[in-house]
Amino acid sequence: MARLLRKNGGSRKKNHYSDGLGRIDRISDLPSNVIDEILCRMTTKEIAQMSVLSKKWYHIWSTHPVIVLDRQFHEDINQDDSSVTYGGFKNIVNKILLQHNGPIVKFFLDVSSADLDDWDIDHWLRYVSNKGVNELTIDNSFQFPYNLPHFLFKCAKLSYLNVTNCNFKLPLASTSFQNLVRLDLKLMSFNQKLAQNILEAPLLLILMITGCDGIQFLNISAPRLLCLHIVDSHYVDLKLLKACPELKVVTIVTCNRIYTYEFWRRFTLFQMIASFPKLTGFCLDGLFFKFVVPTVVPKRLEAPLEHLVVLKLGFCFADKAQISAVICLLQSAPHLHTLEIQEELSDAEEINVDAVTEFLTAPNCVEQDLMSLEKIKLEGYVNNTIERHFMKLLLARSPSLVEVIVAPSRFIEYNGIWLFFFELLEFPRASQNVSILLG
Amino acid sequence: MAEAASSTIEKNNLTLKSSYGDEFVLEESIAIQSVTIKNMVEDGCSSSVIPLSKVDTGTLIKVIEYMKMHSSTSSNEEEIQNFDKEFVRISIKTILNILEAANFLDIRSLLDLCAEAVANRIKNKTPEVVRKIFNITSDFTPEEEAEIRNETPWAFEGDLDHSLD
Repeated sequence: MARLLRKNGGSRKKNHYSDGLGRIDRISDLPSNVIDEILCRMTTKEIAQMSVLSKKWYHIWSTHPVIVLDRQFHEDINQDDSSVTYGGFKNIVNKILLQHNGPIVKFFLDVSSADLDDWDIDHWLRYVSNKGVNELTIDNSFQFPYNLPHFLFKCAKLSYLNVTNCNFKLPLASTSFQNLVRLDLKLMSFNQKLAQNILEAPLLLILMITGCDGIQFLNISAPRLLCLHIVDSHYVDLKLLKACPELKVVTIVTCNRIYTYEFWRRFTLFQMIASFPKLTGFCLDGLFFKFVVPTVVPKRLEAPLEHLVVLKLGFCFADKAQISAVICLLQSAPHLHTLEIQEELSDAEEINVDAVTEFLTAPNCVEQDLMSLEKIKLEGYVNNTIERHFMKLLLARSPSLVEVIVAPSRFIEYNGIWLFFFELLEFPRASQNVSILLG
Repeated sequence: MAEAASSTIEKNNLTLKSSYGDEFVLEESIAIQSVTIKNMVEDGCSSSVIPLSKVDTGTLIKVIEYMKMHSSTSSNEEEIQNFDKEFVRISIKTILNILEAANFLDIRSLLDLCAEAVANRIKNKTPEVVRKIFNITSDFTPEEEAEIRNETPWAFEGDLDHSLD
């Protein structure tokens, strides 16, 4: 029946009762959001191949609101030299865009291996921004930095922007990304000139900064920001952090870049934490932690970290300032659930085993039990006394503890791995049901 | 129907009715993996039978099988992965039915699973084979088809799979 209808050019209405015929073109009749779900799992080349299936599929290809020209796309068109045959990447992209009808919601452009002029990219970006692009990715790795065109900063519909190795010059004293929810900046370099401009992003929730220089010149006003990741970038400035009172998750990983101490010493861990009253997840690597820990550490913070649930820290056990800052954080976070520690090897200047031992074994070192702590992970242990004191303390004062995972440093001797682990098993525990595992 | 509704419906059970009129009783906690059903429960529309006029009996049985597995606390991640793998080893017709039902019922993970399975059956196949697998009738003349191929000639380079599976 359905077949007859279709042959006569009649209704393409579905008829679930005629499944028995087994000759129904179900896929072409799927709702467009379901077809998009299928297509977003395919490469641009695979979707383009579908354009010849039927008129309906040609229409689907030419109106598909997602255009992904990523590494895979480059590999596909460079197969069998077809890129050369058909006029290179530039020509192929021009044609794809010219054939496209309707809105473009997502545009992913990888130009890291293409030989292009800036204006080629300008034209494409102009085109997709006129088509109402929401999600835009530009990967310009391995090239000269590309100057992001000014019109991009007026692109009201952008909700996601991901740019790699581009110059970021704000056109006006104040630029507004009204709908931007997530901003990813990679391998960018910001300079003094930017410092006068403010990037207003009233809806921004996630900001990821990776491998960037001069981020202290970046003025982003993001009053709703929830999640901030700064990886391998400098310099982290309190100004950037202070403007975001809603921040819940903060990650700062420096990846051992060379820094000037003086810059870091401009603010302390506790000044920084005071800017995040709603912090739930906090992750700092060892180098950053070392720089921001002040020489004098209070027993606990005046304003407790009521919301803090996950704490991931890299630190040096043998440095008294660092270990007392860790204890201070633990004592100030009554709802902490997970503690992950990456042990850093100590510099000679920091080692003060006696002072640290005295501190950790003092009866009032931890005044209040760590009531909510359920999980502890220690990575990089080297089997020394201070680690033992520290773990002994945590096991004795964490009545809700469920799981402890310890993973040895790669510099440890084989015997040390087991010695430490077996001793750990013997420590008195405040919680009845702890499983202690070797990671 | 072995699983058809019994006369006594327990408090936390829901009855789902397929487009063929077959009824299935399911624990509410399992059924609310479907956001559509969850919304109905929250709006208080689930006191009687929930009619699913867009889902036939065979499809509903598969969807329930999936929801039961995914809400089971006794199965670990690996078991669920294996279950998913086996689950989509069925005819393309059935996958498309489940896909559409997952869309209607708003079960994200099932939609993902089936969309992936459909995409995998299209990938690397020649257009002729894709037409056969999905019963798509070309309404292009040979000249028109050649023209379309010329618009994206780069897409038709390289080796494509001629097999039907």
